Amino acid sequence: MLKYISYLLLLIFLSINIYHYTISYEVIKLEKQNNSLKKEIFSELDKRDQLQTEWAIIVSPNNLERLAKKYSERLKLRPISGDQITIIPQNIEEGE
Amino acid sequence: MVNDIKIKNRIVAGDDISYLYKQEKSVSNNSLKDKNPNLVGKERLKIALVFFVVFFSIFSVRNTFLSIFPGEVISQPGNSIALSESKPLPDIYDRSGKNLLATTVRTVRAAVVKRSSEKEFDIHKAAIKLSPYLKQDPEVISKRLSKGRYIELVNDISEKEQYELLNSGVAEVEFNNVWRRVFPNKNLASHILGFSNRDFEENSSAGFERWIYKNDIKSERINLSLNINVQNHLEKKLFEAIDKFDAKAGFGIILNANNGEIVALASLPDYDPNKINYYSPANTKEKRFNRAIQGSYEMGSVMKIFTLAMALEEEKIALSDEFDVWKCIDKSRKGCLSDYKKSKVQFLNAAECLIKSSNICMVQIARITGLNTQKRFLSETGILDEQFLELYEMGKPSLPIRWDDLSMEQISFGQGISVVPLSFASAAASIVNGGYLIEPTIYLSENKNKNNTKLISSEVSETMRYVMRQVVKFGSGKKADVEGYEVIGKTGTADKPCSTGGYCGRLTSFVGAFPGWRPEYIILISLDEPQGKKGIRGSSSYWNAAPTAGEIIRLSAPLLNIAKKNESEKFYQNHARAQIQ
Repeated sequence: MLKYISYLLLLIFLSINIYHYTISYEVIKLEKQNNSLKKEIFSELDKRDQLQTEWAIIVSPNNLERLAKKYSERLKLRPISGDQITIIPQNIEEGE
Repeated sequence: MVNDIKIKNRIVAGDDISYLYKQEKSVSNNSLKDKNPNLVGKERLKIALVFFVVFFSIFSVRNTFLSIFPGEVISQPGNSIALSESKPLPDIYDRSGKNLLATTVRTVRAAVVKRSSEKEFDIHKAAIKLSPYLKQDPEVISKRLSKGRYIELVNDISEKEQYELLNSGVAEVEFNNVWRRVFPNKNLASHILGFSNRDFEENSSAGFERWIYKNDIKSERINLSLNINVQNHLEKKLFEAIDKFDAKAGFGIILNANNGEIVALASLPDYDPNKINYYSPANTKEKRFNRAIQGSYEMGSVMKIFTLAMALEEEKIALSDEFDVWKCIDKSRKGCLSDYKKSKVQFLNAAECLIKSSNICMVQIARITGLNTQKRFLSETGILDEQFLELYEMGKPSLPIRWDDLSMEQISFGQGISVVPLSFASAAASIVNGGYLIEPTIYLSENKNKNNTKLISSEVSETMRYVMRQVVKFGSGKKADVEGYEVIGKTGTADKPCSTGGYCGRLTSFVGAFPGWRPEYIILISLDEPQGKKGIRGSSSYWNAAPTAGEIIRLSAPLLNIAKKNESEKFYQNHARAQIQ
């Protein structure tokens, strides 16, 4: 009887060890994957930052003014005037 | 076995037979083991169990440890992230939250790292190899390579350039990811934003960037109160004015008259913060000087608004009181004090004194209000103190060493006291916004309400708005008027004190507000040493600062959502007119 219990215990011990070993390596693998994903995220964030910066350069007032002057005849662009602004009363009644 | 012993050794009476028992016992034990193998197995199993328990414990402890602290194994070289996740400085946006003013991007820096001994690294050979890629003379590169063990070669390189440098054949070339601060709008608002150097050192920074370092601001983004389009108009028109009038420099401020938000602030000449040489700041000292907040100037006649407001607030005079402007003031001088343009009539009322910008009249008003009242009133405006702003470059006013009657008279018309332009603009706001004191800020203010501390009463403020409207309508501020906005303001042409004594050159200014019926924004435009040119009769503020301000208001007011109003000035006119008549 003791012999079988010993074999059983041995089996349990081995199983637990194998399980732990597998889990540990699974964790390591996942961490590596996580790190590579993080790197990918950073790289995408970098790209986003660069695109945002490029966009900011493109839409900078200096650049837009230069483009507006260049295409003013074709686009018939005019600076905004105070006449174009209308103040809407806050307590206006809702229409139908 | 027992029988054999008995046969070999005959035992007689009296013999000691104890050894036989011992032998028998040992024999009986051996025979038991031979007979019962279970006992042997048990013993072995016990030993095996002990081993297993020991190994299992070791494995379990190790596995548990690994499960709890996985980093011990995982953080091997090559797995770590090269740079920290968060940017070293927050992104800066304008008030709309859409226009990016400053950001940080990751770039690549190539450097030579001398790990081997000096003998092994052939500097000359490396310089020749690197020369075509760096587009520099090998001698120059050799000199650079001979200094230290870590030598920066080139910053912000593309992947292609990185590949080319790798192919140069210099094994010591390494690439590092580094952060870099970028200002997409280049020179625009450079005096507010400042700059940061590549290594993000606090002492090599300026402007708002420095404020971020010193206050350790960790947020991801900051919205400033600046309106980038208004800022652009301000800088463009200021630049055009400097060019047109051959001025040495110029500055301008537009700030919210009610909550102190700085919508635009410019000082020319300026600089591109992307290109500034952090390590030799002396080269760019002139360009880096922010005249609008660092400098202090004798502002000239624009200061007269304080003299009049003070006298009205203290009820020492009424707007209808008349003053003799042909009177000779202060005979202790080398002559009589004169006005910029002598009045055709001898007597002017207080309103006309401001419209005609009479120095003689202002001295008389100051004499009525008195020295102590002037000191107290100007102190309350805040122009005598160092102004707080979220920038460390703020300048200090220069006050008279001995504030006596002569100083009082000079100050009444804007001489003898140098003030910081931003402080002056915020004090001017208190004169026209209903009398409320404001604190200038470059942060987007959440509190849109006025400060409750008052400098003058609402009635006096209304009167001042009326008089300042007349200055623009009929006086020296005529060229600043913009149809539909009823601009109010005051011009000033001040002689600049020389370092050698006396006065040399001029500072022309216009301080105004728009829309005139309920001022929302204050504008201050100043030009340093403008010249009269062909087609322009004079070099006073009437000819340069006022029209520049008018042009900026015309372009900026629609961007600030101010609708034109052509109904006349009935909002405040009746009150003030009644006072005069």
